Amino acid sequence: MRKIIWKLLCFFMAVTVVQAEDQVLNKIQSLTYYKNGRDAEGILSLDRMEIRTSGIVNWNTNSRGFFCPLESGKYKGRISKEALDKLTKLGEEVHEEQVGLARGDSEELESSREMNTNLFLRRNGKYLSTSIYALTEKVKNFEQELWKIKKTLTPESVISMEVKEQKNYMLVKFILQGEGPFKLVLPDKAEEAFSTPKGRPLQYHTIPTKLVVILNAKRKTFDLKLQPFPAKDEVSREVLFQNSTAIHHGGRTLGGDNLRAKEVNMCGVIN
Amino acid sequence: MQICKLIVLSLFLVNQNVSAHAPADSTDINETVYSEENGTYGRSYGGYGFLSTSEAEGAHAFQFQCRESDRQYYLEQFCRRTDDDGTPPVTRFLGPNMKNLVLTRLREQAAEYYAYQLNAVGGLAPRAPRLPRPACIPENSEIWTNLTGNGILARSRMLNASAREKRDAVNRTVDGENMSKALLYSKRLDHFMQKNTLDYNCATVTETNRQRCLPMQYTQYRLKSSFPALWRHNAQQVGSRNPGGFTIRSSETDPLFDHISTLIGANEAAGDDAVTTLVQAKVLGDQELQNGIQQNDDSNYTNLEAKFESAVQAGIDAPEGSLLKKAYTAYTEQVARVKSAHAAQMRSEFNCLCSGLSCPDAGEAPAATDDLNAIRILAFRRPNMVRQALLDMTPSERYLAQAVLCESNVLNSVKREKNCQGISGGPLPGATPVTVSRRKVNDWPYGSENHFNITRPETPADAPYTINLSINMLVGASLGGADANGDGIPDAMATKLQEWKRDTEGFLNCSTGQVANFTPMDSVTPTSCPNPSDGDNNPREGMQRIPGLKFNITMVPTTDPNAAEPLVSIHECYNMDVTASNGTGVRSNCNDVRELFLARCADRTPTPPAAQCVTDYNNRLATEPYRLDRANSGNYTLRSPPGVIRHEVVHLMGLADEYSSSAKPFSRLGEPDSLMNKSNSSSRLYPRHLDNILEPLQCVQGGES
Repeated sequence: MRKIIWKLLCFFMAVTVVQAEDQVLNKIQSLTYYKNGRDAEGILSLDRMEIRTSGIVNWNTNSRGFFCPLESGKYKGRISKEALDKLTKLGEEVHEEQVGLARGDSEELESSREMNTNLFLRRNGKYLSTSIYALTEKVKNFEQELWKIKKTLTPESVISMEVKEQKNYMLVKFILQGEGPFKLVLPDKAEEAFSTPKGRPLQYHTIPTKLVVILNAKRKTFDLKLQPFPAKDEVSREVLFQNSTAIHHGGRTLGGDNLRAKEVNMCGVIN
Repeated sequence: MQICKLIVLSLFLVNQNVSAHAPADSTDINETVYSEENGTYGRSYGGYGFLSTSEAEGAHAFQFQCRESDRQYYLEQFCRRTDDDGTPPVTRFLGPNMKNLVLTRLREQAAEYYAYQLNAVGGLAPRAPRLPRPACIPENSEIWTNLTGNGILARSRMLNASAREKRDAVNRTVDGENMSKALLYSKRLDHFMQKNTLDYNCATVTETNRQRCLPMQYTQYRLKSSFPALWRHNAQQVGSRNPGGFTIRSSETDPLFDHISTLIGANEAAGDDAVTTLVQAKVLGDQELQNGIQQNDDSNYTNLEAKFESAVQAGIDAPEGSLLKKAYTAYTEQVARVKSAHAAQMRSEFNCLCSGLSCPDAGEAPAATDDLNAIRILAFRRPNMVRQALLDMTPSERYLAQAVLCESNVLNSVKREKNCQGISGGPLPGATPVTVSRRKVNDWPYGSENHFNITRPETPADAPYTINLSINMLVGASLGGADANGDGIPDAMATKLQEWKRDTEGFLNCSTGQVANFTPMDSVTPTSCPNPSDGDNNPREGMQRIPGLKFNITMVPTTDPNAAEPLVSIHECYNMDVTASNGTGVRSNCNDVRELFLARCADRTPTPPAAQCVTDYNNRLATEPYRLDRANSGNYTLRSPPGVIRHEVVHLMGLADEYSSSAKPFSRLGEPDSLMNKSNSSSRLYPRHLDNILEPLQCVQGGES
């Protein structure tokens, strides 16, 4: 009899603990909207927005804006509980709609040059994972809400890019917005990262003294010089910069400075 | 014959007393890739622990053939290059001295490998025992001298460029984050292999599944041989098909996996007072791991990697005493345990380097009985070390090593397995073409439709191989416009197909020296092509090889959506950034493309007027329409530039992508100017690409002996 009582007691305690854990986890509410793949120009493009239970928003993008993306980095902000609830509800509707849709013609085709869009939701102990296959009205509504939120965010560690034509070279200036730090990695050969819109590689006019640059409150800008000038057959006077090769997965790890190099896909209009 | 024997004997004697390096003739000196000024290869890539001009080239180092004619060729090249009086090659046999020469060279490389590994994991810290020179390494060994001279053994930081690159490459394989990601990706591959009931041998599966199994097997193998702190070679399975011959070090990796989960979960819960224990955090982390590893969509996995990276950075920045800091500390302590165990393993292997490679304390197999067996075990155990040796060797050393490795029969296990599905016909030269008809998965789960044939007549004797590829080009629904002859094919498309065919065929045949000159589609200036009779690196391995390689590309317009593969759809707009709004999944809706660009335009700061964005879009559409589209191997647009078409067409001959992609985190990156990396007009092919295109011949011509 005593054994039975002990067993019942243990069972009751175990159930209580599990329920308590569930209650804790049920309170967690988060949302991640993630775009990942190759953009229109074949360049690795990353865009990831995370919103936590507390309403804290972190948005990482390696190319903000179009047609010539001028910014890259991390933005932050905070939204209200009501705004998060509204967004989560819209997200759940998107999930319901998209689940079961057949994937399109791009599946498993070489090249993997597609932009995958995913939504991850956590609410009431449920974890929903959604691949967006069709751009429906519900998806558009959801994205409209995200655009609104993006407008309210402030740069935490963002760089922008300016290009000025000088007498013998092009001066490229990277400017930090926010407090940083922003760890910028440049290749040892400029042509691996800098090109014209037609794919013509650009070289360093003068090799930078540092190829790993940390921009922060103390050092907000970094300049480098490129050559040659864009050829006459270039329609747009732009310099494209993408460093994903330079910081391929082996190089994306933390260095001795405990800072992660940021993948950048940017563009500067030549002034 | 006598000359070659004398040379080999002298090399052996030199090796015993002075150095293990074959004396180099003037060609060798010119072709030696080691450069003190620029580092070994000028740059280092990736996390595989070896250096090459690219990961793709490094991965290809083992892909040489071992037919009798190939072995003979390697020996001829070895003798020719060590023979300075121009005497024709004469040797046909591998003498014992030759094998010993290669063994000693590999042991030197192994000593270097172990030293760098130990250096990377703190195994050469000031209080650790110093590494003595193994008795089987010559006193004046160049590699050993470099090791000590560059401070790896002397605990100094005075490294030259080459040593620094090599150190960095090795360091990446024991970096905590890289190891963690390798572990996560391996779990993902394990999951899908189990889900599809695939075994590591890829043997007991259907042909369709075998297509998927082989690239997963190869990626597993590359992971397991590149991250030696996580996996160790299982000596009991020496000779078994990769990667089953590796055992995960579960006593270290199981806890590491748990700590990764807890760390991710703790970061998910950061700022939320509800989660107060590491156990609760792990529940959240487990959900993330399960979703990232087990879901079909690649993005789930890349999202998991992003969450992990974010958690590590947040863990560093977290305040002391917080849940996240505790999780991060526990994770880093486990990484330290992994490294410590690895250091012990490396030192153990180093200590038994000369003892016939028997390492009883490391659970190794019995001692090797002869030099060839010793080489075999060394290559099984540390394939990336042998790979680096091949890459570092002078050409003459490499030819000899190739001949010896062929005889050791080690390649069956360390090289990528041949994929012979859908290949028939031959042999060549002959009247029957070798036909390839299959969907080839290159880098799971990505692949392309391969349907072409290879011909080569018996006469004339110097006739080239010809790749005959006919592509059905489907008029997409979005295409319209004038159709003068009423065949259903818009005139603009018919013209474009002629231009693409001429450009792609011309580019390929110019690359292999089959035409004298070629004018690219986006140029008015003809470029002269290399003469195949000149040969380049050498006649069998370069671009202008003997026998030659010619391409015959046909692009056939069609309106039949069920036309035979390869079938490529041509669209007016095709952009992978947009999701299809028409429910078909086809991303060719021009309105969607326009909407995407207008939305991103409006995101600029300050927000431009809507009318300005419309103007910008229209201008871009008029002047640089190719910047608004993307292609893949099954979808082109009329606006695709020539480099893109060349890139996509060679996919149809079996070549894999070589650019960095977070969806394929351990794929092989090519050189910056490789056509499979960047599809610019100035991009080029490399000899390995031709090897890959001609790989089907290995399935019908007796394969490898």
